[in-house]
Amino acid sequence: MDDFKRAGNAVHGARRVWVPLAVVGVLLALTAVEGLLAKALPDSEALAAGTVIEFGSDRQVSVQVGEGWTLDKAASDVNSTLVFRQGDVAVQLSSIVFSAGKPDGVDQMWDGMARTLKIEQYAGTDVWLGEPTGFDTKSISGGLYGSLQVGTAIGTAFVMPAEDDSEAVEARVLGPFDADQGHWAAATQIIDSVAFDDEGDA
Amino acid sequence: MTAAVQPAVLHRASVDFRSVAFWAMIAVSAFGLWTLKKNFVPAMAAFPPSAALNTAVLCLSLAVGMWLARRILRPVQAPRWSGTWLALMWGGLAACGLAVVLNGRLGSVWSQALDLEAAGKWSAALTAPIDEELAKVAGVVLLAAVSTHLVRSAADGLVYGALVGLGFQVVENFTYGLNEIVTSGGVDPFAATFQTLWVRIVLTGIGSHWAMSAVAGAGIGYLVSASGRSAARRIWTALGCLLLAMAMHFVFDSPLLGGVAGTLAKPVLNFVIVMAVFIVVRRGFRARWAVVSAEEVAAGALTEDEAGSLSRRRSRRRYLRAFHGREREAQARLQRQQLALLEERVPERLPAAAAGPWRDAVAAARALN
Repeated sequence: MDDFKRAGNAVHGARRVWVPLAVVGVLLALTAVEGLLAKALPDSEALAAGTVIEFGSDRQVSVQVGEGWTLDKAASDVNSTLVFRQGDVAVQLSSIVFSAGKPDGVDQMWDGMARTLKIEQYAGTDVWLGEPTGFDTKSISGGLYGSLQVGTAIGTAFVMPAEDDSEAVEARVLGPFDADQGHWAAATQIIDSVAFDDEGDA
Repeated sequence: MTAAVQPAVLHRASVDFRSVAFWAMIAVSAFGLWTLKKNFVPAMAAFPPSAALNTAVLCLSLAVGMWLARRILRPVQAPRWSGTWLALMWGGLAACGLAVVLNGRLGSVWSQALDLEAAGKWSAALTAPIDEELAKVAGVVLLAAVSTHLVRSAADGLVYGALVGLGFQVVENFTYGLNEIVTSGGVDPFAATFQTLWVRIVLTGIGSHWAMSAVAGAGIGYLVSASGRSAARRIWTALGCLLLAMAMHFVFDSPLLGGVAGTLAKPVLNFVIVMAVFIVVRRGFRARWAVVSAEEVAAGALTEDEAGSLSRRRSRRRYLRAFHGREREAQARLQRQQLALLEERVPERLPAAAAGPWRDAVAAARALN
């Protein structure tokens, strides 16, 4: 007696061959269609000079872009991360809320960022983070920045803490070695425009 | 005939290792494992204490969830171990790995198609119900094709759907536990992982993936059951269950019912829905069980007392307590054969005569007492 040829459910006989093939086919088709749709749509959106975008879980961080920037919509999530591009230079801003454990000052924030960069190292990407140096912007004081290399891209990493250290914005400005100097300067202006809501209100 | 059919002969192997579905499950699970490894092993290597906490919680929640699902969600007796492991494997590896790929693609579509604010609010709710529910329910369909004996009723579909969802849920918790380290700046990795796991298990775990997949799985179980219902009715019911599971997922991920109260209310709502489906499915299964029990009593395969004791785990144990030593072992063997006979009779369209060998096995087991 062959147990498997006795129909205990509707998937018997030839169906036991084509049903699983159809299931795998549907999953493959779903993967392909979603991939094609993602490719068919434009990745980025050109931003007008002076555009202000609020982001973060409560839209508590704002940033203003200058002329010539595009927003990489595929890589951005208004709840946490924005990615701007101009030429070969990319600016990534991440809103960090320290809900699990509040850091004891900006140095710990920097150390935390250094630890998260190790994930990329373990994934096989060359990552190098230089020693941090203090800096202030027009809205934020007590930030740190340092040289950053990720793969073949070079640039700068920034940590910009909120006044009460309950949150921060981490930024990466990266591009190729020979990127246009004007783009680097424009990226610096973006970093300089970052502000937390409460600081802006004050 | 009777002499040739010893009880052990009729112990069905519930997985056909030669089936296309079995190898499809293995292949897609291997792909899922590779995807998960590529995406999450670097974070585990970077944060070993968080990875250890995650692993410990994964094992514990898997053990507790599996025990609860097997103990509660299928009437009469637990689902087969082979089906249990396949369901967990599909949910944890195949569906979760597929979801990583699919969500990345569809999430990107919404980010590009919608404005930034709308995408931020609705992307998860428009992505996960499609990608994740389809990926998970595919596992129940494949289980039905691995053997004709794993998924034979809505009750089977519900419990295997719940197990697929449980596998998905515990692995997704694992990945969220690692992702939260990055979103909280890597400042206190252990606390970030702990907080995420606490929220996802204690606060929202009651109505998360297991509940949604159980609903969708019940529909697949109904669809493939030889229940005598029309094909159209079975298809519409299965589709309805899948859409209900997607709707549960949509509400769960959407900004609707926001705030702390909403976060707590959504899983409770899902739990209420899955329990309502469970009650309907359980009632149907028990009604059919009562019918075939009565028929087998009339056929002489069971006594009234035996039939009365078979349908619940506790009553079976109580019945066996009346016997001692070898007699109890023999009665337990007889009970297993009687359960196998009644399980064999659950699909309504199988002619009663087809269960003849199982009836013979019961008779053989009784003769050995």
